[in-house]
Amino acid sequence: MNKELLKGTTEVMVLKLLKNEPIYGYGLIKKLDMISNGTFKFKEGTLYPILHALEKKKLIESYWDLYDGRKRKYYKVTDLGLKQLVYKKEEWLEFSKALNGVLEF
Amino acid sequence: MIENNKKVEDFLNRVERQVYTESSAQDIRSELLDHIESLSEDYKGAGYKEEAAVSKALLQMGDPHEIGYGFTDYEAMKKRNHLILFFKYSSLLMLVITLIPMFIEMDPSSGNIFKGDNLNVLPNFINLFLIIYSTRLAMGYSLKFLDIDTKPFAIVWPVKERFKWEYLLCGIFFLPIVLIFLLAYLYEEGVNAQTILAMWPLLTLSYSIFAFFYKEKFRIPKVVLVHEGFVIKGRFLSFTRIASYTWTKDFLSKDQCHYKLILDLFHPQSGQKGLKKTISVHERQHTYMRAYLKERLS
Repeated sequence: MNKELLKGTTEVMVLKLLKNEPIYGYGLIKKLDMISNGTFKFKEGTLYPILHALEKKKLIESYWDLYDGRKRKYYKVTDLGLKQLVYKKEEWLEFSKALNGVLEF
Repeated sequence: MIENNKKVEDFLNRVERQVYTESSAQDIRSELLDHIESLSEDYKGAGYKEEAAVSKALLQMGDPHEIGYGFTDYEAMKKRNHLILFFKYSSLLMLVITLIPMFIEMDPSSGNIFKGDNLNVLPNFINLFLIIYSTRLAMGYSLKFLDIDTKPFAIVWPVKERFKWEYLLCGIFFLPIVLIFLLAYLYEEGVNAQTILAMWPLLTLSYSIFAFFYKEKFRIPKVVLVHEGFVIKGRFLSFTRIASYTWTKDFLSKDQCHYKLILDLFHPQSGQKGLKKTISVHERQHTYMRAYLKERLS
């Protein structure tokens, strides 16, 4: 997938993946890979800075838990994040509708 | 434990040293450790042996420098500048508050203000000494603005190291003693304007120690590469000031993996050559920096 096409979509994908349940970083990578049949892949170097930036914006929050005797950081979406997700989703639908219109012209 | 694996430790250290604050660095370290551990478990599940699984996991993680750089918090750098301004102004305010009673006194019977004549009295000398000392601390040489308008292109190693022993000495040992002394004095003498004023030098000293160590939380990168030049210890150096540059290997460096970039600069006023600036660059960044400078400066 062209990287240029993915620009600006990672935030909305992360929010959507975290909508139903809290997930940790590596879990997010695996889940996205599975849902998108391998089309979208988060790179470790990209994912964590995005997660931390979203947390600073208060769109997601995190907590530490123990898994198999080691510390693991889970992320979950906040109310503000849910609102942002609705807004971004509408924005994307509008954009894709307009783009489809142009492509099918 | 994978935590004690040398390769993993080295990887995490490299990431951590690019991260801006101490608390975030620890946070990111633990998070990435879990990630590497999960990845290597998956590889082990796929049939790889322990060491090979760790190597595969680290390979998949990518360049630690790039991951660390991803955490570059430009907003935090700007916050640090605000913090410096706060320290500068608050130090100035404390200086003024200390100086006022040295020059002006109030007659308790009439309430008139007159010029004080106790400039040579020892407590005032101590006041003056402390205020100069504490102002120096709070406004000291290491408080540099990181004056950049855009997100930096690269942060060149090494970033400022931490001074854990200083935290220990002043945080655990010294400050509580000062505070206990303060409380004991106030308990003995009673809390009123006079006793608080008498405590002012100690309060100033406590504040300055706090300020000095609090700002250390916000690590400043020694060298930042931006699109128009370098920012060295907070000061901008444009590419246009660089006449030529050379690379040498730093054999005196502890781990022998540092290169020295020697910049030959034009003097800002006379335009003459002769000024030199040396930047230590880690070998991991050497190729990348070399290519970038070649493109910009040839």
